[in-house]
Amino acid sequence: MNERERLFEIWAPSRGVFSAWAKPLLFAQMDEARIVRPATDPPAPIQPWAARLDGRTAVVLDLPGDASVWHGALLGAAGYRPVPLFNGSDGQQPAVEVRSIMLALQHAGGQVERASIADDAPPAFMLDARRCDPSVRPSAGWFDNRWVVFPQDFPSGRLLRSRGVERALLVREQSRRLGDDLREVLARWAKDGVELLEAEVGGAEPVPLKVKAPWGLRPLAALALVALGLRANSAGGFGARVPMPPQGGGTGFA
Amino acid sequence: MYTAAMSPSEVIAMLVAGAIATVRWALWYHRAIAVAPMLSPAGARAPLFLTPPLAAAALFAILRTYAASDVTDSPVYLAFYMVLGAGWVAAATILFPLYGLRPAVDVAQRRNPAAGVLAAGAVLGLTLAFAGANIGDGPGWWVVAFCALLATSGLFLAWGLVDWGAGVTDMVTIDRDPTAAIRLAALLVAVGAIQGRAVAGDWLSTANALNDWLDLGWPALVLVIMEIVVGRVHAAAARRERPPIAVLGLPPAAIYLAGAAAYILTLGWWT
Repeated sequence: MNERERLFEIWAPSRGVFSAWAKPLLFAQMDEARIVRPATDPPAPIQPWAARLDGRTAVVLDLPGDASVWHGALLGAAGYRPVPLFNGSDGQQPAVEVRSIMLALQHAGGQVERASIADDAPPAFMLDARRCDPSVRPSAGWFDNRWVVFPQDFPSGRLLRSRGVERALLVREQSRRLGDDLREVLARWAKDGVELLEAEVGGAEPVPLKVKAPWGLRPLAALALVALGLRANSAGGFGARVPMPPQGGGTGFA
Repeated sequence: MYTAAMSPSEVIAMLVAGAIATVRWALWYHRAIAVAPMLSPAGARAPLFLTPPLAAAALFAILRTYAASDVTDSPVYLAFYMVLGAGWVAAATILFPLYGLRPAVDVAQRRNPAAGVLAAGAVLGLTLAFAGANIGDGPGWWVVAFCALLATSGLFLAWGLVDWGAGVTDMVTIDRDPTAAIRLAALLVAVGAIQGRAVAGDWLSTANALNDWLDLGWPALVLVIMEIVVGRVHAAAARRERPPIAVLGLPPAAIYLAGAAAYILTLGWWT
């Protein structure tokens, strides 16, 4: 087992109930020789809502960049299993910066390892809220690594409930719009009887969350989004260079 | 009747089917191979590697045994219908994502072995549906394509009904449930076989082919209804814990396959 695999095993141990959903993409792209595993824990942000969690609540951390990882590690210390779902690969001139996430996964790895999380611990799914920011329009030459989540990237509400998870808490920044992709996942969970809650990052009290599925013809719409807007990476996940437009012909005036 | 030399329309059909087959299957294998090894071990991707050659072997065996006599004895026409079949099944796999199944992503990237089982069942079911369309004598390749269209439509309709009634594909792709995967894969193979048999036989007319398809293909609906019932029982049980394969996986799968085989044997030789 190399260092990348060792680090992934810390975040997603093979015996973990929810490890099957973890995405190794960013771990696979880490520079083997430069992986750092600090012995000391990074300072954890105090989150009042975390004190209100019980073992029957799944958490979805829809936070920008490495904030999601730091909060995941914080929840790891509280007995949760942080599950990395980052699915946009790294490249030069990326539309979504991911190196801070890769670094955070390394720096927080030790903290998660020392947390001795139970195999059947409730999950804390970590997402990058910037994954498909509509204001980002990658142009030619950029590495377009915007990505979305699908219901297939999460366990179903039925499976969560069979594992004793009755509620799901979405943690996010209120200033950011909830993405249609995650809205679809949460709406399905609600349909399966999972109670939805929402908390502002740094906020105190979780409040009930109501979401409606954004797409009538979900598979068609979601696939159209992928087919038309985003770029799959052949090595896995999303990310490819936006091609340069063809140069004009040589028939102009000199 | 076929002649030794291929007609222009056959050449065009072979070129189009060959192009579709080459692009789609190359993409299938590329997506299975190119994914970073850390995302899934090679063994986990075995269904993606093995299913196409298995399907091709099944199609060849059926063509060699049951196709029109001037096909079984002609290497050129055997190759022609093999290419047509490869293109047909490849084109049909484009519809898989509409059912929530993306074989390369689900198997190679999400490490979902249940999806591999379902993908294998779906490809084999499609192959049997296409193979049935080749059985019997007919005026040309277009009647094979027409009959294959009927049988393939029946298969996708059955799959859609099962998902509408019990959401079984989601159990496979979202819940990663091998019990549901084994059952649905067997159902698609069984329905593919029934649909293939329903369009098999000597060509008389379009109306006759449609009548045969409806008259002989409807028992697939019985299997669909059974799967909707079993799927709902499965969904209810899964709220507590995942149902075991030995209870809601293998026995229903065996019943679907045995039921289809018994029905086809009962029908006997085609006319």
